Amino acid sequence: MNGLALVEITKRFGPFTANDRISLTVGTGTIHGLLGENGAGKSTLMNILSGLYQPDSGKILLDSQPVTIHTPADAIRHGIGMIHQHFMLVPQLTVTENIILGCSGGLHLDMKSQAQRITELSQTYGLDVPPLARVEDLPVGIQQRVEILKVLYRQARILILDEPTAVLAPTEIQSFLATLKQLASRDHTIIFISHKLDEVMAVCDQVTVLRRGQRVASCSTANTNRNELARLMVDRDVEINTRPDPQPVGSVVLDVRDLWIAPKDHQQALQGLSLQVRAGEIVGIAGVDGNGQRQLADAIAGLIPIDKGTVTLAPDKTVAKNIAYIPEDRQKQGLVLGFSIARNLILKAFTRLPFCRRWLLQREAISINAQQAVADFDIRTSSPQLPVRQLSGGNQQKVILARELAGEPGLIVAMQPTRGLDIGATAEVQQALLAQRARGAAILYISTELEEVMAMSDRLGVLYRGQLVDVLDAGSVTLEQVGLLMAGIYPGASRGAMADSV
Amino acid sequence: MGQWQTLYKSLVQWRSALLPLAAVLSALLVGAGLMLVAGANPLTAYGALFRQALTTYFGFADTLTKTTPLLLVSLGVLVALRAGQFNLGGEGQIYMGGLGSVLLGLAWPDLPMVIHLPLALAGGFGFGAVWGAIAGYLKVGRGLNEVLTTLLLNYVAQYLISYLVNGPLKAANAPSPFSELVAASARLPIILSKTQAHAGIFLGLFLAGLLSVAFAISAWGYRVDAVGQNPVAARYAGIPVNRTIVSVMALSGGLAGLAGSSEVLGLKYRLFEDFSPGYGFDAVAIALLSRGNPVAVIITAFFFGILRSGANVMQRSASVPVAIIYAIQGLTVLFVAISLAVDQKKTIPKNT
Repeated sequence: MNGLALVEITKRFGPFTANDRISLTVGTGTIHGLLGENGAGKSTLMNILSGLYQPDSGKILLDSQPVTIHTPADAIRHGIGMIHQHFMLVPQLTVTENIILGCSGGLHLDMKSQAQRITELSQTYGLDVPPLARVEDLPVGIQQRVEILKVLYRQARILILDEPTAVLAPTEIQSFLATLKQLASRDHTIIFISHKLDEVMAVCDQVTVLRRGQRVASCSTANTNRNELARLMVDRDVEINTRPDPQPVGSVVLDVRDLWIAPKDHQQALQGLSLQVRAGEIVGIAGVDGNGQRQLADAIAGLIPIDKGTVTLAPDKTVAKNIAYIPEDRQKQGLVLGFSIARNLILKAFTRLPFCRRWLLQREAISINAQQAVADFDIRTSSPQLPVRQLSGGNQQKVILARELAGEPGLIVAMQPTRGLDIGATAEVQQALLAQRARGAAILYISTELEEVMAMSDRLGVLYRGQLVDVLDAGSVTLEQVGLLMAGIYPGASRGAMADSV
Repeated sequence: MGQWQTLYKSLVQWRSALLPLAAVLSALLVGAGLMLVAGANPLTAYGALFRQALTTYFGFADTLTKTTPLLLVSLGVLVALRAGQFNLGGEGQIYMGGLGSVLLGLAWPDLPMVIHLPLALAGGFGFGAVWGAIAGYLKVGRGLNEVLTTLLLNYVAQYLISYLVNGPLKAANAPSPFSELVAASARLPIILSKTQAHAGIFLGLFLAGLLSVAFAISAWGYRVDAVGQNPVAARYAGIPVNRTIVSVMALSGGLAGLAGSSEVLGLKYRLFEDFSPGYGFDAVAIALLSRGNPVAVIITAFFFGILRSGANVMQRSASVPVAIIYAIQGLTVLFVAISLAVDQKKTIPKNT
């Protein structure tokens, strides 16, 4: 048959089987969705296909011919191109330079004719890019087109896209999905890795679900639905993004007035932002990554200086002393990876009783605290003494939650708390935060996942270029409305903002 | 499966001890190759080296004398390393420590020893600490890389001492640049009679033990480790990262300063030009080889002390140039770097 077939691929890492006899057929010109939680084996399988790993057993067939792929160069030779979630572009180089990087032989480089070729290529596929612009000046949506053009330029017939929509704004996602369909109509074969069920249902012809290294289902998207796929992925009923019941709110816990922060190190500035969060409510902040979310959270937590304006916490002393902050990058900002679970749990309180007495750490108190946290937050580990480096992302996040939510914080700033987590872990994190809301904590929930932030919030603000463009009642607003606000399209927006959001 | 895993686990546990050992053995092996090239018998040479440094009374005393400053300055480099800072300024801090101790050792010659000696040691610690703290401040306050500043401060310290012993501190009628002798009450006592081995070694051993305990069970050790392993997370958790870095650099410089103190108060009794033969740089190798473990530093510093004390005898009895010993020290550093890289490759779990 025409197309790509993986036959009984098995890959082991030590005692761990990442891929267990996985078979997969993808017809030429179709879009095949690959679904699975983190650790299900999606990336391993695709890394085998792109030559980064060698399978322990199994075959790869291209148009019914067995092929061996030892290196990424082999993969390119066979017309297989991978587009990674994190772009592999050189920011300082132009679009053309990035695309031809590593392919042009010879000493002479005629940049003009190369740029011409890129323009033709981009017109053929309807992937408009400015060929002579620097990549660092382009929005992420355009950067992604450059990535796609890069593999098309290398004559790839099979495109593997790893979580391609994670970085895009809702409006960009629509045009991106249309691009995929267009590529498929030109007889390109596409493997679309995602955990967003709606996108898979919208764009894929076939879908394969992996769970713990095994294929659990392969079917046509016409014969399945969102709920069934979710069940296949996690093997249990989970509810995520469910709207919490309304509850009466209390007094203002966080009052941000006219907050200004100057831009620094290519970071977005904040420009006169005002915001209030009351006890017992979740205020969501939606927005595309890099619009000032980090500055807002850091300023509230007191980690960066404020240029103008005020951040006032409730006069209640316990609130000011105990702010829970769940940072967006759990490995870089939230944890000391080489420390054990128990030691990470005391990162904020290690100088205080009961963990420290007369300058000495109290081993017993630390151990009891860790056992309690492991039980309360269902941290899956063989021992609290295990370095957090060895935990899965979901369990690492639970360690942070256990630490930050200890001692009933009055204010919780949660920055992308479910980023990179699978459905099961996402549900657990959301439940933990909802329990805090029920207890009466004020929660600021910052996320780029629009559906999630809309469902979790009582009120919803949209952050665009350092300004809060609107605060809405999360219960009545629609996805489309928020999507437009996130892209900077709202009454009174400048034309420049609209042009950039294409 | 179970057995396999147990074996794997115990290997992982012992790896941090086995890899440095493998690095040292590899360096000795390559060193043997160099000796063969130089036309000497490596077995005779190594035999002479270790026999002299370990089994003879005077040789052993000399090994202790060499080990003492190495141990102290290595503890300093190690403390900085635990806080994620590379202190390449041990050499300069040794000089400053020597200066501090000599200044206090020359003053008040009538003090009783129980007061004068600790005072002179404290002077060395203090001067070294200031030198370390300067680099720490430049790092957190001005964003200058400590590798560069510590290295450059070495020259400042070294030439400052040269100037002082040629000028204001020069002993009356001295034929070459050196200072007056420090008061007897400020000298470290000799511990093996008729040799130069002095009580500085006990100071080193005590501090190694103290640091080991501090890192294991104190809140201070926890804070230093947290800052060293992830300063960003430490800052997010409210730990005063900058203050920690400056204070640890001061401690690091202070310990290196004590190495200088032990040289002038235990061995030379006065300040010379260029009195440290590169102990501050050996210390970087020793600290890396010891993997941040203060007790391991004792063993490693002792090993480097053996190499230094046996080298001359080896040259005489096996006609192997001393340079080979320096090559072995350099090779050790190289193999340590390799072993660290191997270790990192093995411990990073495969991404699934």
